[in-house]
Amino acid sequence: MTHPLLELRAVHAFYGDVECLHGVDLTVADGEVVVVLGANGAGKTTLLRSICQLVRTKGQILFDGAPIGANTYDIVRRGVSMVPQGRGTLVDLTVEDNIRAGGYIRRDKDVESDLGYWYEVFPPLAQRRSTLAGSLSGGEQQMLAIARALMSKPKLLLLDEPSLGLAPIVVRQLFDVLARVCAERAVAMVVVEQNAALALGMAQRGYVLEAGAIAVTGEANTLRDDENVRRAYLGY
Amino acid sequence: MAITTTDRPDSPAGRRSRGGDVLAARRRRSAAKSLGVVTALLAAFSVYAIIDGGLTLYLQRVIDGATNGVLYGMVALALVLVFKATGVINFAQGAMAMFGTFLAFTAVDKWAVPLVVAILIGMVLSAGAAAGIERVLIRPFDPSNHLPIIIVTLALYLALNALAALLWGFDPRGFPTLFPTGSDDYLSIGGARLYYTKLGTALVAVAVVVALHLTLSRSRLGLAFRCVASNVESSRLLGVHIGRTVQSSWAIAAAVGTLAGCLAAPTTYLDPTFMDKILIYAFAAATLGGLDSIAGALVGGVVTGLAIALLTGYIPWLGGEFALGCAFFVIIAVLQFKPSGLLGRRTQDRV
Repeated sequence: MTHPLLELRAVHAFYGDVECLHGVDLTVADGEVVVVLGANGAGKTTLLRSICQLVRTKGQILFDGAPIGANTYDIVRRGVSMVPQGRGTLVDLTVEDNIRAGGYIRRDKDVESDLGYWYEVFPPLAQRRSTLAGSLSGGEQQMLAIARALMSKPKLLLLDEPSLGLAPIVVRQLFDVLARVCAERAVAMVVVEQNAALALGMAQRGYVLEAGAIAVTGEANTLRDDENVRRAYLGY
Repeated sequence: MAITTTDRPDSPAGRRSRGGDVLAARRRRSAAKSLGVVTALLAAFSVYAIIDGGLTLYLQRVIDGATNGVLYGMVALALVLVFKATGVINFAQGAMAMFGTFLAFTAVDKWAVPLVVAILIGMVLSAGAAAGIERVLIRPFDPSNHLPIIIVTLALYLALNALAALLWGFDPRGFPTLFPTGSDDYLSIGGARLYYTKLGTALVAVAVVVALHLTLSRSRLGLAFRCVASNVESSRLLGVHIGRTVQSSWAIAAAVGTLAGCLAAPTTYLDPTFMDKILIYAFAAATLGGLDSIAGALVGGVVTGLAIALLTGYIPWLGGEFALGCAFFVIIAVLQFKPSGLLGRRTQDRV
C-alpha cells in the first residue's frame, strides 16, 4: 500500500490555550511541491510549526506512514527540514559553521563535499564563508538558510515565506535554484508564501488557509484560475 | 546554473576585504586595542611599583597575581561554558566546585585513594550531579527566558552551601596538593619565588583551557553549543537536542570548576564558603574576557589576578582586604567601557 510522505488528519494547534488551527487535513506526496496560501494570521506559519512540533498539537500527523512523534530533534532525523520565517540565521556563527550546523544530524563522510556543492550553487556564500552570518544581506541569508536546511538531506522541506523582504529579482533566482535542487534530489516541499503567483508557478498543488482551516484546495492550475483565489491572493 | 546576483568576481578573495569581513577585522582590531590599553595600564603601574618597592617585590607580586589569576580564569571558564550554551550566568558554579572539592577531599580522607584519583572522582561525581541538577531544576524552564533560571542558580547556591555545612561543617580543613610543597621547592626568578605548586596549578589550568578550546572549536558538541547559544529555535530545527546540549555544558563546567577548586583548596583551606571569593574574581575575569570566549576567560583571569595583586600590594590605603573591591571595579569598568570584554564578540545583527 502506498502512503503519502506527509499526512495531517484533523490537526489542531495551540499557543497556550488559544487554538490557532481547527482541524486541518493536508497531504504531501513524495517529491511533491505544495503551496499554502492565506491572509496574515490565517495559520500558515502555525501549520509548518505544527509539523515540526514547535507548537502543541492535537490530531494525527503521519510521516512516511508512521506518527511523526513529539520531539523536533527526532522529526529532523526522520527527514523533515524547515526554514523558519525570518530565516533562522545563526547570526554569530560564520557562514561555514551555519552550513555545517545544517548537517548536524549527519555522521557520514560526505559533509565536506556537500559543503563544496552548496558553495558552487551559491557562490556569494563561498566568498564569505568565514564571515559572521549576521552580516550577510537578506538574499544571502536566504541562500544560507536553504543550503543549511538541505544539508540534512531531508525528504521534506518546509519553507516559511522565503521571499519575505527580498528584491523580486533575487526571489526569482532563489526559486529557480530551489525548484531545480529539489527536483534533482526528489525533495518534497511545503511552501508558505505571500507571493502567490510565484509559488503557484512552482507547485503542483495548493491549499488556501482561512482563519485556521482549509478553505480551498486543488491543483495549482485550478487554484490559479479560481475566481476567489485570484482576487484574494493574485490581485487581478 | 548558480546564483550570481551581479558580475562580482568569483574568486574567494574577491570580497575578502569588504562586507562582513570588515566586522571581523574590526573585532580583531578592537580586541588588540583593548588588550593594548590593559597592558599599557599594567605597564605604567609596574614602573611605579618597581620604583616604589624594588624589582624583587614587584616580581613576587606579579607571580602571585598571575598564578592566582589562572585559577580565577579556570572558574571563569566554567562560567563561560554554561553562558555560551545558555546565555545564563550560573551563580551556583562556585558552590558546585566547592561541593566537588569536598567530594575529592572525602575520597582522600575516608577512602584513602591517591590524590589524582580523588580529584578525578570529584570531577566525575560533580559532572554527574550537575547533569542531574540541569535535568531536574533547569530543563523545566523555558531556555529563552533567562531570569527564572538565574534565580534557580541563586537558590541552588544557597542550598549547596547549606548542604555542605550540614555534611562537613564549617571548620576549615587542609587540602593536600598535587605538587611538591617543601619550603625550598621553588624556582627563583630575580629573587622572587615561584613555588612548584603555583607553577603546576598554572600549567594544569592552561592545559585545560587549550584542550577545551580545541575540542569545542572542532567538535560536534562545540558546534551544538554555539548553535544553542545563538538561536534556540533554529538549533531545534537543525536536530540539536537542546536539553542534552545544555546538560553537557553544565557537566563539563562542573568538572572544570571542581578541578579549579581542588587546585585552589591547598592555599585557601577547604570550607563551605571557600569558593565564594574566587567566584567573584571569576565573575570579574569572565566579564573582562568577554563572557563567551574561552581564551578570554583565561586572559581575564590573569589580568584580574595581576590587577588585584598590584593594586592591593602597592596602594597602602587600599589594604589587602580590598581585593573584592578591585574585582567589583573591574566588572563595572568593563561593563561601562567595553561590554563585550577583551576577546568577546559583540553581537551584530542585520535586520
